[in-house]
Amino acid sequence: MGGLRLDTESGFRTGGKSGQPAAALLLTALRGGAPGIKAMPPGKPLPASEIDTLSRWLDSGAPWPQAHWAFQPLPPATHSLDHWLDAGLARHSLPPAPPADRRTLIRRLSFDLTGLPPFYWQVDDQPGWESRFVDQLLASPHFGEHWGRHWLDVARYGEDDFSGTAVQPYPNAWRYRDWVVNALNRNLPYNKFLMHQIAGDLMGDPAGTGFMGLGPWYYGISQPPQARADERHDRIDVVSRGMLGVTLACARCHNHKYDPFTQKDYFALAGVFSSTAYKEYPLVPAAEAQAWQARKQALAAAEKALKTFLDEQAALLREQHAPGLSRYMLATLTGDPTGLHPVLYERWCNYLQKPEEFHPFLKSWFASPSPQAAQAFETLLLDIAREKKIIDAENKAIIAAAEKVAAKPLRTIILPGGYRSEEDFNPNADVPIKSLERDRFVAYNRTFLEGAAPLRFPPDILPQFLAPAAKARYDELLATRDRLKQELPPKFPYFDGLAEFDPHDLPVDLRGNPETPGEIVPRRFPLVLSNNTPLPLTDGSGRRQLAQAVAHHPLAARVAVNRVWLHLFGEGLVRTPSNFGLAGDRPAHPELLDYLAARFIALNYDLKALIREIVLSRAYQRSSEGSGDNRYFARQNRKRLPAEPLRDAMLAVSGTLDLTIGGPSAELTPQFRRRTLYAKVGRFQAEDTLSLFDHPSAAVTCEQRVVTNVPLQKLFFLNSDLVLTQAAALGRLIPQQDLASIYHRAFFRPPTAEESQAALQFLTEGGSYAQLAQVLLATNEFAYVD
Amino acid sequence: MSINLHAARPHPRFTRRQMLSRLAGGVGLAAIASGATHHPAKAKRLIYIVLNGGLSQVDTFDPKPQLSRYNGQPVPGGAPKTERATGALMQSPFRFLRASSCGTEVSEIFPRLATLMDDCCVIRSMYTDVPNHEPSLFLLNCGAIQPGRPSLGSWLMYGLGTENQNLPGFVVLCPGIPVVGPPLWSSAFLPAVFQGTFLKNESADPYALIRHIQPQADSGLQRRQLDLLARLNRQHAAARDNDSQLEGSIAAMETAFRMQTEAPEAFDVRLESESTRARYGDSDFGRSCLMARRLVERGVRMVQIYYGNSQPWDNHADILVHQRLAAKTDPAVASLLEDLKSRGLLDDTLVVLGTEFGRTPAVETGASTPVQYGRDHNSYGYSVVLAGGGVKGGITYGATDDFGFRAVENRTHNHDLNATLLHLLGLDHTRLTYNYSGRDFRLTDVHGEVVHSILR
Repeated sequence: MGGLRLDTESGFRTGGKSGQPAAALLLTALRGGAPGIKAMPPGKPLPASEIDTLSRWLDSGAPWPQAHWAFQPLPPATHSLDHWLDAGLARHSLPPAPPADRRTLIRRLSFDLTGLPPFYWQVDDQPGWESRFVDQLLASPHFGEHWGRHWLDVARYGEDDFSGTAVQPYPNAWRYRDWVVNALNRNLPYNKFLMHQIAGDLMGDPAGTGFMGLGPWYYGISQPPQARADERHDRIDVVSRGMLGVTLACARCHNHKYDPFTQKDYFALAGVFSSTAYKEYPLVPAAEAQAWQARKQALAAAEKALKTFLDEQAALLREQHAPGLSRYMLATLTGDPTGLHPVLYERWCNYLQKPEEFHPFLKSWFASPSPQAAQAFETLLLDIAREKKIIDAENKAIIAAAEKVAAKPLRTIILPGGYRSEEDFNPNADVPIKSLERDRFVAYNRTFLEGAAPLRFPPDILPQFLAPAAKARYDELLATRDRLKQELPPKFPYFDGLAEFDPHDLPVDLRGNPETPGEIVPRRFPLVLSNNTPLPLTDGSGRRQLAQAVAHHPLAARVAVNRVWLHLFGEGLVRTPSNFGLAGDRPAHPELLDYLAARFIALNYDLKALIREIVLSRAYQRSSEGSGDNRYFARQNRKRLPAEPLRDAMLAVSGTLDLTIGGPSAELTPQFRRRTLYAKVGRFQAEDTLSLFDHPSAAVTCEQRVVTNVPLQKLFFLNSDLVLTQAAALGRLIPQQDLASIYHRAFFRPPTAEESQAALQFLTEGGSYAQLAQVLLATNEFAYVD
Repeated sequence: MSINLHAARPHPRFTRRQMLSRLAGGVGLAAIASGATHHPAKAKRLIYIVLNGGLSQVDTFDPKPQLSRYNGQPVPGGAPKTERATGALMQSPFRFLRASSCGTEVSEIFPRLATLMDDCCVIRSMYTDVPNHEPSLFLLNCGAIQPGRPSLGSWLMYGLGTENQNLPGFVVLCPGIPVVGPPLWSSAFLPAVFQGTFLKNESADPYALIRHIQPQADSGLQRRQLDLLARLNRQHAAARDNDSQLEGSIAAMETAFRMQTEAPEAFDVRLESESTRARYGDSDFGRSCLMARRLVERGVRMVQIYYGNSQPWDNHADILVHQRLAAKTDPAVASLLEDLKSRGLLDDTLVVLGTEFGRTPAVETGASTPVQYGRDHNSYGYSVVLAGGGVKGGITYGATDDFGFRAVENRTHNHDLNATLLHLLGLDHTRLTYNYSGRDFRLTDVHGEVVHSILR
């Protein structure tokens, strides 16, 4: 059955090389094979019951399964959210939970919509208060902060990368974060929101393209072709999973194992990202940015001139001071440096105190320090220096010749920070050159080059050895460098985004290896997502067309509404929020998911309206009381506050939270008072406190945060500076306000008589207000939302 | 405290969802491990020492007499492409010793290790994919050359949990930071709680090492705080059907309280005698090995030790530097093996002395090295030493070619090594999967074969 494919209907019907339809041969193969027909699966036959099932399926004409639900068009939105959910519950014979009480609902809405505790808001108690309260929350700028962070998880937002040798920071990354927050606050329609992040530069506003402009970039982590291919892989992954809920990135090395995506689909899309470049967008007039770059270059040139001069002078000084070095050696014996340079004398003294193993040619000197031994060493060193000079000149010629013939890269790819992709972190490492013999090199190195070498002339001591003319030249070079350095202002503000690049198609990488290119594939959208009619992405890079196709695909709406549901109910209707493919989860209530997606489109992708509709439903407002699996959402879920609202709430109740919106990020220290959204997000190194509370890795798109509940988190509540600082602040409020108002801030309810009694007892037994406050902040009630 | 993995039942195949709900319920890391191996485990814990930078096999664990005979001659058939230009074959400056009854030869720069070969298995046929540090370190740790995959230790935490709730289960030690750094012990898409706890152990003071471990209130007062907290939490939970996540949270707080006393003691090498510390050597690396012993004695699942900051073993210019590094490595690793053995721990503690790749038998000649007495990166062949934890002692496995360039016999990819390590710890690398966004991921991706012939 060579060439046979059973994962498509046409493959099954037409069969493989044998020319016979699969139906005719399948059972023979499954039942142990026959001459010319291999037994399948090899080695371990299927259980008889499964073969029986297949046999009955074949008998009934082998009806092919319905096309996958998620790839179907959306039916029009009819009825309502509650209609479809209640119908689903009835189908599963599940009684819905009663409504939550007012206090619970206020707290739930406040945290779910803004990530802040409820005591901030004024809520009236007239009928219909729920919708007025929801409107208040949706209009608050804190809505965008909280929901922006949800998107930043998907967008694998990070403020640095690993360059291969060091951390590469993105000091302007926060501008993209603020763009996201603002887009949500001004309720930019979701389709536009997506399009701007793929192709905003082609729509008149490149700010959203930080989605990809901020990387991850892999710089010199691996060889350039591999690193660039890995970057494109990330873009395909974040767009396909993050926006469309399909795992197209799985088709890099082979056709997708479950879903109808081919390797060609993958590289047809990879070509779009290969035709796109990183761009730094200055936020100052072009002339100002150019002037800054010119000054920066002038400084670099001055630094280079200074260094070249110092290197030349150091070489001259080595030549000048090498003859006569034996005098220094002898002087270390007598302790009399008369006529010698005091700096050099001291360094010779230090040098000759080192153990013998460091001196391959000093054995005779150490055995018996004598003028002869010193002279022999000097003669040897001068000979080595002569040889080194000749070799250096030869090597210079070899390298120059090699550089002349080196192939120029096809395209110069520039990454953030001006990093040139083809840049070799190890220049000319592949050019064979000549070298001193090892021990001769070691002797030379230890005398002239390495750290404590006595005849090394590093910049800090070199000037005092210069002749007047050279010293004047040095002073001039140094003054120029210092002046340019001082005059260079901080770099202008900019944001990291995308721009068009030389449009081109990519070959399929055989087995995913960029070193083995196969057939070139024209840029287009994945076939199965365009009704199997090729949708070319060839206008420029094709990004504008891609943005249009992604943002208006029914999958984008299905994925979006499921993510919204996830954040409001703690679980998605589809519990694999970034995979709606065959290997993903099926929706708990398929009609409900489709209703919400169609409704979202009918609402013109109005995210606030969608959220409003959901939180005002009976489904959302149900009590979270009950136990056992809640797959069908017969009740609300009890949710633990994620890292950000948990810390924000601590600062809020203790009265220290600074609610300023937007701006640069800062380290998350105990003194940092702003919302956690504004803490630096490391991709190279995750922030300790955030990751302790399950903040996701910024290296890959995150479909859903996990929730862990472990002792290390409790140690944080017991002993961290952050909690102790907040407890102290809250403790100071206790005598000023009274326990009732503290409880109102922390739990949005008055204390019970028993709780008041317990608190009083704790205080009378020697506990301080701060220690009491620490206990309140560490309670489950503080961290969980019913 | 410890869980008997030898009495393991068949793996219950936790789904990701069940596993996460247990974690969220605060059931904790140990409970996940209860009997949850795929097959009886030979090793309960792992110490993985990384001689970072690239250990030269032909100067340490893979003697090549032909290399001496053909010293200075071109590599027959040409050298495979490595990072930099290489030239003629270069013999090792070191002699090899036979100091154990099994006869395994080891370089003179590891004189004490050479006497312990009866307990060690040297795999001489390792190979990896790329002759650059970063991708090779990623492959060694995370099974892929690019970032974004969980590390071996995180997989172990996910698969087995820890034996001691009062200590982090996966500890990474280095005096500073090795090349690449934190992504090497990342949990990536696994729950963040499984990531390695990284300690810059240049300080010996445990309170400087572990965050939030120093009690901030005297113990009597803290106890009263916890009693009040428990009382409030109990009332809260009772009104909520005693929700398991709330119960778990209450238990986790009690565990945290105990950790404050147990954890600092475990990390404090100053509690060891003067003579013990001297045996390991007064070096960062010696202290790491001693700390590793204290940690595994207390049930830490995996300790990973990076020899030093950046990549000390990356000796492009002068292979004699290996001798200086080995002088600190040899007493520390030998003492660790001896101590584990004398305490009966070597039987179920697996020790790996590994590296991201080997070095070329040919001398490096590229323009970025100032002198030609060193060796370039070599992804085609290298050696790794295993001891204890169900590995046969006194054997070597596989071979490189006559000059030690390429693995040729019983070739063992880094994926195979990882599959074998998981196997020894009771886990089937093809079944230790995590469904992330609809796809089952595993440490070995779609690769890896367990090297059965080195198993006891």
